[in-house]
Amino acid sequence: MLQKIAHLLKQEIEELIASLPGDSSFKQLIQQPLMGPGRPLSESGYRSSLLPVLISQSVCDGYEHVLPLSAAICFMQTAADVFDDVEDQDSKSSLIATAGYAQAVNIATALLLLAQLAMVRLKTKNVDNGSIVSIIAEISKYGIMSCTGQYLDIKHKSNTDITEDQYLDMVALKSAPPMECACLTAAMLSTDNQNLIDAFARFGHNIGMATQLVNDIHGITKSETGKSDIIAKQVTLPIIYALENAEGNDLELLSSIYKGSDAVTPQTEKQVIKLLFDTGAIHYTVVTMELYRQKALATLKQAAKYGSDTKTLTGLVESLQD
Amino acid sequence: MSLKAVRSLVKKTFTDGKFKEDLLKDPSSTLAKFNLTTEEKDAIVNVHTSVGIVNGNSAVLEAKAQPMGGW
Repeated sequence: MLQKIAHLLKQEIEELIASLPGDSSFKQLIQQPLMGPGRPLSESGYRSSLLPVLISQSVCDGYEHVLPLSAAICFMQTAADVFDDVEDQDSKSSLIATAGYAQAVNIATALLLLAQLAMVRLKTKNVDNGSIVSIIAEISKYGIMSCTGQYLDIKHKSNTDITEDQYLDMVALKSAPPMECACLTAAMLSTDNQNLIDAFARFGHNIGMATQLVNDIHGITKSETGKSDIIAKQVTLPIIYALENAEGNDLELLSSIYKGSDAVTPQTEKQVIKLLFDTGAIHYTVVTMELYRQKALATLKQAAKYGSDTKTLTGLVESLQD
Repeated sequence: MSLKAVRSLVKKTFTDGKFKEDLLKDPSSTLAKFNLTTEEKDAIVNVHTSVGIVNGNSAVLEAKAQPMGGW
């Protein structure tokens, strides 16, 4: 079923892009960030883009009416990713490498506008105007929430005084809203049961939190293959834990890196990675991620009590453990 | 969400060898000494069961984290 849904979503996105007037090279550039690994036009697709459809299917045993919503959320998330790369000045990002910063900003703006066009297409699925306005309002509200989180992320990027609670609050504003919004709006289009709508919003929130904590782990453990949070001196949950709990030479090393202005060498990076494992900072982050995953499963149980068939969603979340 | 008790537990696990041994041998009695919520206990036990004590990069850790990264 997932493959079929992914195919329909791909069609929805491609139709919207094809309907745009203008130059074909511009359309190709719009497609580029949507075709990257894990993105909706890639071979594998990504599960968050299927969330609205899966939620709708679990609530009302149908999903055609939420395909434009899924497309809108894909466009929004992809635009946010491109803006994020521009803000991080990540010139390795494929769109920036191909087209440069100016075109990347232009493409991200076009993706945001495509999201609006996608939402208008809800009308073709017999969604009434009032509901479309409510969906646009929610998506805008959550989009602004993410911008607030991004503001705090940029502000606190190398702030070693940030507490764990402040960090998790920032994640709740920056990383959780896209999934919370996807789940909430899909439920809004599929049921009038406010308990179900609330349960799915909480589900999205917890999945979003868990996903960010996995990014924090990968920022340390997969640093050789991608972005290294240590090289970037990004203060994430493992670093906050280690700064609070490391002692002696370990604490001295961390403080000199994160409070100093020198660039991090590959050798120092290796030392920090070892330190983060040895102090339990990575273990702690894995446990915290697991806690959010458990919360997501608990909200699915609540949704099931209100009559939703959550088998597929539960299966997806449970597979995360294996 | 304040995880003070989880932080204390993890710190003790990584700094006190005897405690770590006790935790692995008898998780329920050892966890009972901490003011953990049921959800926190479940999360700790799930991690111990699926990954163990995470003290180095491993395929098992990646297997735990990777699927979540696809969301």
